[in-house]
Amino acid sequence: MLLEYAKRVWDPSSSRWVEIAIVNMTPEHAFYWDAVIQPVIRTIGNQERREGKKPSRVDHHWSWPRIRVLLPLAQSLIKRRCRALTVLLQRDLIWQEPWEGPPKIEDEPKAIPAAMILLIESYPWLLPTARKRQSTFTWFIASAPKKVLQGLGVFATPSLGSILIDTALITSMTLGYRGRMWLHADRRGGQRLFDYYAKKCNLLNVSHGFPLPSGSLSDGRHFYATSTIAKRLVNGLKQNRTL
Amino acid sequence: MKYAVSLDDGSEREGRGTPAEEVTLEILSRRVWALAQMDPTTVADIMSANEGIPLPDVSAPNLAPEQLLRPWDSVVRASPEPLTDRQYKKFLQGEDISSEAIVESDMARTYAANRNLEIISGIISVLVLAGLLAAFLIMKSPVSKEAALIGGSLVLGFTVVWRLFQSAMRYGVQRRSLETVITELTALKARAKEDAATQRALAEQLKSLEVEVTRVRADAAEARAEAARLRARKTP
Repeated sequence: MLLEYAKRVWDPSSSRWVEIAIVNMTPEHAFYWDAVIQPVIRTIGNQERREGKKPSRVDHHWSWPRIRVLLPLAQSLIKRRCRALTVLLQRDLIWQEPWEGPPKIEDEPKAIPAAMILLIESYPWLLPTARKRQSTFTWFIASAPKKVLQGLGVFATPSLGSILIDTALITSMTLGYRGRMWLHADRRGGQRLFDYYAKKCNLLNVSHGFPLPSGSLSDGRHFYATSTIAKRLVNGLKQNRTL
Repeated sequence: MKYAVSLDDGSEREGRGTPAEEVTLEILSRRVWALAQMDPTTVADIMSANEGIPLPDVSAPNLAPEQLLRPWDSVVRASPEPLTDRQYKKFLQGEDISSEAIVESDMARTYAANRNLEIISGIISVLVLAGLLAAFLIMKSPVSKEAALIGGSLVLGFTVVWRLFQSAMRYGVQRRSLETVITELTALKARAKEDAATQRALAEQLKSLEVEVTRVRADAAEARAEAARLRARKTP
């Protein structure tokens, strides 16, 4: 079976398929994210703080240029490879100056970073019965808030969470790990993030105190996909791989 | 794209950190080494909390965000296949590897296809030889010379057909990979042309601004002179 990353996503709000492009992340993508999208993420978090809530997004302090540049470099010191990918959406409209009238359709549409992912390609498998086996570790994932994208002129902004998980699974399968993948749900994400991985992404969860490959114990927020689950999840997005 | 790495002094936690000083390679490599020693969850904690070890800051280029965007048409999708060592080195250095990754993986596929073809060709040759040997043995036997003739013709026919198929495949595969290379090169050339056009437009814009500034300066000088003249006329 020829494995490919997703090429389109179903957008329920506009009832149509939206074309996406999953590309190798360039520093430009990370700088763009840091300059345009990250400030809005911080503003949302600061607003929530002012309202007496905790920031709902765990990426409040993230710096994608650091993640893209430093972490793969650090991992290469211990002979591990990272894979950094960007999900791009097409910008449909371009905002003009107020005196020039309403936004117009862009002549040469630009590709806007809408989601980012950093994986460790080969990492020891979570389950102790097969520790010698390798798996893919999903390290950082982030989707841009829909409002930012719409503000930038992206008309259709489908949810990209499942696409990011699918990307990690496809990577694992291509590397020969049969879809074995695991991740840690940041505790700052609270119950909302926990439920997202458990219920929406259908990943399995290990209990609190579960021994991890690093020797430490799990805080009960580690999730994983076995080869069976990966196969099911990947098959579920079969339609997303064609244009 | 080249990037510079400097030390974040940690004084500005909100927004982008201000580089306090350019760090030596030694300090930088120590920090990166520290990151390498930690397990991924701890690193993620440090990134999320923005506290713990001070991390080097990666400075942004002097470009407007809009200039960091590429046209949708020039986007090259990533392949899930692992990058070659050379490509990965380029990835670490921050270079765009999308186009050449596609070309290289296509070439690798072509190479693999050719190798498979060679193996199959070897097996077929052995089978042909075995067939000929069998035909020779049958010819020697008194049973049937006619059967041997038919067998021999079949083996020869099969060999000819197989060779034709092999050549067609080789031509097809190589042509496809050549087409990909040409497409990619055309895209790269177009991108370079486009960048040059943007630069030219900016230069023209700058020139016209300079002309405008000169004109305004002249107007201002004239106005100043006029004001001085008026002042001089007013004073008794």
